[in-house]
Amino acid sequence: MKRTTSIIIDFILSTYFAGSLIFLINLILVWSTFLIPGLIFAVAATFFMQVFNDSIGLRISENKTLLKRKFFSTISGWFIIILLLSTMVVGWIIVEVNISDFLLGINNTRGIVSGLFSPNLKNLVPMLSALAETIYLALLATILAIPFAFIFSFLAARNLMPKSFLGNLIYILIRTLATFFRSVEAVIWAIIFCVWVGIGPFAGMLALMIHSIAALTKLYSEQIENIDHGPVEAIKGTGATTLQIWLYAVIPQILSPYLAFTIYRWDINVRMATIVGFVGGGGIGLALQQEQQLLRWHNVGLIIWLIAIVIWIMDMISGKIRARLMEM
Amino acid sequence: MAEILEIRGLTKTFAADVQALKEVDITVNRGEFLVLLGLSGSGKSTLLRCLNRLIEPTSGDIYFDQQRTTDLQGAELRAIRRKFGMVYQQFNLINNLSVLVNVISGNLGRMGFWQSVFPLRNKELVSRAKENIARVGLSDFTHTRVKNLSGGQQQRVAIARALMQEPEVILADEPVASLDPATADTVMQYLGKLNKEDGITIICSLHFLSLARKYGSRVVALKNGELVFSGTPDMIDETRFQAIYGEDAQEVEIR
Repeated sequence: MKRTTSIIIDFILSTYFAGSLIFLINLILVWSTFLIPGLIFAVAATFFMQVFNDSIGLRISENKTLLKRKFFSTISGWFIIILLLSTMVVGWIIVEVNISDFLLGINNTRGIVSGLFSPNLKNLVPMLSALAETIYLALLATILAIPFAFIFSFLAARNLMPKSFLGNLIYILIRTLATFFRSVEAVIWAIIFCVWVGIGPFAGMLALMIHSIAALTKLYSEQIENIDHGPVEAIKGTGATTLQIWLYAVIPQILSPYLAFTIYRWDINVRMATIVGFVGGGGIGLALQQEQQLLRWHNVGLIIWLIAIVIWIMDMISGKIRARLMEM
Repeated sequence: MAEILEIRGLTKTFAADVQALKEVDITVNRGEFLVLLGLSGSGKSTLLRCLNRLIEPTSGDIYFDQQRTTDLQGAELRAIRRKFGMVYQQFNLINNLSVLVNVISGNLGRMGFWQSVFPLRNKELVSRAKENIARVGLSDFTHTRVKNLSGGQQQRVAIARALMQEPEVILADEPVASLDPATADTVMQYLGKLNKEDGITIICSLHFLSLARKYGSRVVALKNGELVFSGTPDMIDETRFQAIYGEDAQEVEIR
């Protein structure tokens, strides 16, 4: 079994390395497929490393460290170095890194920089109202996410769900859904909801809310999985029902970390709200996008300052509150 | 004396063939102070938890007042659990809540859900909880959060919580193992008082023979999940002691 796993890992790595080589060769030669030779190379490399019993796959499947002593006198050690080098080279070419563009193009940013240093304060009032929109939509998204995440977190906590088929099913279902909704970025949810309810803060709020429910469900349920099991046992021993056990032995243990996570989430939501606004989710982000399209750099400068100040203040406040909550 | 608990052929096998209990037979009489002795890992905790079904036995039967408890489910199981108060080595209190609420939680088995959401509105319940807090001498700390109490005080809160159940039996799982010797004796005195004054049957696992001699009316000993001794505390001489704790063991006196 371990052998099979290690062969699979080695084969994937060798194929990747062969692919990198083919990519580099193709830059010089005419584009043609090297599929068969590449695969033969990968199979041969895997075979070679397996025969010598010294490969990355074996080290991983046997749970050993990759950075052992005599690193430079092992096949796996050299293979790691070669893999890293080829990845760097291929990456450099794919990303089209160009140092001279970076150094010589700085002149083009003059508009933005001057905008930053002389923000258009005449627009302060309308921009402040856009900013308020952002803060409120982040706040509402957080608050509306709490009850959903609260209930889901209990169903997604391994130590609370019964070890029956139904219990496992609910656990896996909620965990999978939460992971899915979290891995789709809030920006993408915003695009969906802009189509659904139209461009504006409501779409942004919905996008952040969906993302917050998923993220909070995960954080909350991990908190439940970390509780001290002793009180749960004790309350169960009094003849309490499952709901009473949750009420007395689980909730008192999780309340203050829940609050801390929620405030942290609000903090994150304010940051995300500006991004979500950029694709039509309303608030200061939408204003930023519009001003940037019109190349009004002095208004852009004002908006960037406002966002920076708000995030700085939020960061400070939420840090203070969380520190206080953690002491409890 | 009438028997209150009958344990027949009790066996518990955990996953990976770890046998915590092997065919244990014990009869417990009403009003006894039964001390469980044995090394760590000998099955004492598992035995106690099988009695109120916090752990499901693999096989064997337990009769409480002639009623077989080993297959009870749902409301019937909870009704049986109510009759066993339990005290734990690590106290297992809810640290963020007050002494009063912790003690009230002992009554959850008799409360509906909505009543347990607002327990302090029930005057009768609160006054009964305060009586139990007074019995363990903690009236001054009624509204203190449990985490601000000392270990000995916390264990007394746990005893008051067990009393709130109006139990017929109190199961004590090494109740004094994490306390200093002086505090340990105080806590044991409270258990002894409940046994004498209220006639509550007590089954208590202990590490120290001196405490077993002082408080126990009868001793049973487990070794590797098997019953190796049953008798009065003064029957434990050097040979029996080594049979329970192993060849090289020596009794240390802690006073």
